[in-house]
Amino acid sequence: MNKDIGKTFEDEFLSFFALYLMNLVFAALSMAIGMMIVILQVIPQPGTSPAGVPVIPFLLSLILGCAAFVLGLIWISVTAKLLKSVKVVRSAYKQKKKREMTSEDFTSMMVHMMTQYREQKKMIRAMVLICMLGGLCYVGLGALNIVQIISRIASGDAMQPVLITIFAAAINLTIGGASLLISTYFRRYAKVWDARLDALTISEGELDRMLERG
Amino acid sequence: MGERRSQYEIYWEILTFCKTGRSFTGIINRCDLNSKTGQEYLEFLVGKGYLAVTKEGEKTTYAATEKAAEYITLFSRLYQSVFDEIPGFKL
Repeated sequence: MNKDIGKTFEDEFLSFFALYLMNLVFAALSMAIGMMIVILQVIPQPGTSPAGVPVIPFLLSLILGCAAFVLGLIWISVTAKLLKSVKVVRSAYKQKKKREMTSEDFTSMMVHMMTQYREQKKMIRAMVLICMLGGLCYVGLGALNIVQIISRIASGDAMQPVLITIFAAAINLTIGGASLLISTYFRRYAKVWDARLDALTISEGELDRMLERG
Repeated sequence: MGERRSQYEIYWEILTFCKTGRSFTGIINRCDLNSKTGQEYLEFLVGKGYLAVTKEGEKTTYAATEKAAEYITLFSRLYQSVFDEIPGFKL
């Protein structure tokens, strides 16, 4: 049984870690690209925009770029806090793993993980929302890029700006999709731990009865 | 530290730490409790017979009793079953 629990721990740690690292990468990308979009909108680069850019896509791109940048900043700071906490549990596990782990060690790790989740619960809920909003900003930017591609092709624009916009659309949609996926993973993670917390609340009745019996 | 532990988890931590006799300061330091709450937890566990108090001169130590072993076993069983029954998070 201990081996199974050990394997479960290892798998969970690896998944947590991969999720948090992935999250950190996309948060950084979101911030960087958001900033780039804002700069490109405020200081248009020669040759990248056709004459007479429609005002609505321009404003929308600016707003979405700003939102992506700000969300990226919040996203990074929340992820860093989460990662720090996960690292503490991971190093505790590595420390214990150096010798043959007893049943007590496993229980201690479970308690550690449970308290960590209780502590992180609000941040994880925030992360679900931040990732989703960040993802929607990039999907929105990707959609605007597609509108631009269509209008450029329809107006018989040169091939180079069309290709650049296609590239921008691909990047925005990829980041948007990945962010929405990360949000889904965080939701799944929260679901597993909420189920564990609920199951423990029921079990606590048994502990309470034992303690009260004295 | 700000960890949100339940009272049952704190009882478990105290009892497992006190498998050999421990001083009050040692317990509150190890279990990250302040002296007021530490005193309350210890009084409860002593009152219910989970901890035995030994006084040698000015030194007071707390040690887990046989009843504590039952609590520790039940606690571990319940926690492990929760982890066994609910599949973990995987990417």
